[in-house]
Amino acid sequence: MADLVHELLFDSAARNPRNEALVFQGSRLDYSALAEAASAGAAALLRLGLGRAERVGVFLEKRPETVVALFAAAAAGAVFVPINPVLKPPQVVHILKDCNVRILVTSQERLAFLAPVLKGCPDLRAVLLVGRSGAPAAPEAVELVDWNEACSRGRPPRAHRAIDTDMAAILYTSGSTGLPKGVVLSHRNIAAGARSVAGYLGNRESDRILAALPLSFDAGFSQLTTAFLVGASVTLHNYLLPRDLLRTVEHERITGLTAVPPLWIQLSHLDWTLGGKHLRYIANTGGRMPKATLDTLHGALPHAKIFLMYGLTEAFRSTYLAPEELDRRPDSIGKAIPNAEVMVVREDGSRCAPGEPGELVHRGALVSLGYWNDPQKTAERFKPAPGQPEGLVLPEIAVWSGDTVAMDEEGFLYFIGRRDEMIKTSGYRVSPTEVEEALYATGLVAEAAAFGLPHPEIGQEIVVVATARDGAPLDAGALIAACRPRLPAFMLPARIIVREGCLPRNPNGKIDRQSLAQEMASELGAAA
Amino acid sequence: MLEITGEPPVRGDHHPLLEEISAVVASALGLGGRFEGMDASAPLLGAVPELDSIGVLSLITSLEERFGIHIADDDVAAADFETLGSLASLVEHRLPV
Repeated sequence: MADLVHELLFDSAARNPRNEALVFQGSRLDYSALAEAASAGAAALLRLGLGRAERVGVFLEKRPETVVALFAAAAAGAVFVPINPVLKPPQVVHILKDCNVRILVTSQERLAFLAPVLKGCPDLRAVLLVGRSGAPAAPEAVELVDWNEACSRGRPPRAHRAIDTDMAAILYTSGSTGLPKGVVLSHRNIAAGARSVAGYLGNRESDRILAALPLSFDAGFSQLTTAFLVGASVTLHNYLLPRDLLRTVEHERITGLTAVPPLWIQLSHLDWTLGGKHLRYIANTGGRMPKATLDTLHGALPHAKIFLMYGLTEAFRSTYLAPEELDRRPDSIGKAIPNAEVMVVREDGSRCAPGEPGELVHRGALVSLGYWNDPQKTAERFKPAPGQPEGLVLPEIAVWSGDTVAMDEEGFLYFIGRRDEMIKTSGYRVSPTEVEEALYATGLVAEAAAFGLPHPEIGQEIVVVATARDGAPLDAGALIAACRPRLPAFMLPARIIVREGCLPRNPNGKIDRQSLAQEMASELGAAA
Repeated sequence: MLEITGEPPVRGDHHPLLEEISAVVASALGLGGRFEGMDASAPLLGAVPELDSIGVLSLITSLEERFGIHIADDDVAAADFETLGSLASLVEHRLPV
């Protein structure tokens, strides 16, 4: 049984070396080749002086080297940090600084994109470049190394020893206030998560799984681990247009596809007679799939089992609805995944009665190691599990999700809402303050508040109410244009409403997002 | 060793539309000056983080407006966005003769 992340790959390589492991744009790697590449990558990282538990950032679109670099870092006894490839330099630099990334794996083009801000990362020692070579600029203290060259020279040094409670990865996720937070995952979190998820999905050696979600998401990274666990094949797909995905599904005879609601909505409009006959299951995560979409997919893919999942990065994965329950309760997020317990509790920690809304609390092997370098936020979200037997002296830490849910008489869970103000859009969690900071950074606004309003396709759309500076006119179009260089597309406001005067305040003197959101919901709702 | 097979970049072929297209790419995706002086081999997909599933829609709209062409959903693939050169071909094939 694999205890460590990279053993998921290496164990399968030992058992089934000739099984196809990775497919990318028609090129194929078997398990033996992928494991060898990961070992060579680990040796390269170690030769660059990477220490135990030090962080390796990987800022790349999906390509074989991305997978190799992530597993190489784990195999070296270090920690991998997959960085969402659509992030902008300020966010990437925040991540590199926040967890003191020592080695960054990226491409020449992306390095050029980051170069102007990289000198703000004093802990960065080396940048490994994959793909075509050139002469990109980097700060003086940073060593630039070609990935292939680094992987092909010299004897492999000994890897740092790791056990399954050691940290393996940091996944960055948006918080309700400020910049992204790093959720620290142990080897055990990831390996146990892979066993749990692969178990209920029934993953098997013959499966061909499409990796359509970013690998920086827990659910996206999960395509790799749940496939590698059983020796199945993973096709890497950088999602751009829905039809390409359908073509890939057909061409690669994909059997398992996991996506987020906005993607499913786009995919549900496609002609599924052109592809998908091999699909054994489809799975949804990252928000509720609209009923109409669910029905369409159900009709278009009658042979595919549909799994509805719920998870939060802090506990890797939490619940799923079994396909056979779908017709009876399509609005449920199901029950706890194997080997995890999910409770609904009141503020004092006592259990809620059936139907009574309470906070979702998750305990078990998937509870992560907290937020990197943030004791305060960690203390808010990671607290002792309720209902521990009295004689048990040491507290067990559980994740208090901040999500409000209810459980019915039969133990099925229903999602009600988030306690905080996070905007859930296009499968992302977007922090309102981060959007507001970008608005302020344009220098065009006096005050700004960002919030999410319900949207039929993307979950929520980002709405901004802003005021002009010093009576100067403020143009919504110009403001969006000024935000573009600062925010990835998924964080751009969908609507900007320009107001006069001041924005409403709450008793603490902070701009009252919630009342603005309510006001706008009724105004925009009335207009629609 | 890891071997990646892929199309070798097209070098040196100067496309008449290149400059205009690179200007449209830069403005639609908000690249600022980062995309100036690129040639046909300049990689887009994967290399330009702004070109994601949302960015591509605004890029298609901008190309349609700028060149007065129509790019149908079922008539375009990720491969068309591989490089600046492949994007130029996409536009060229749709220009009125």
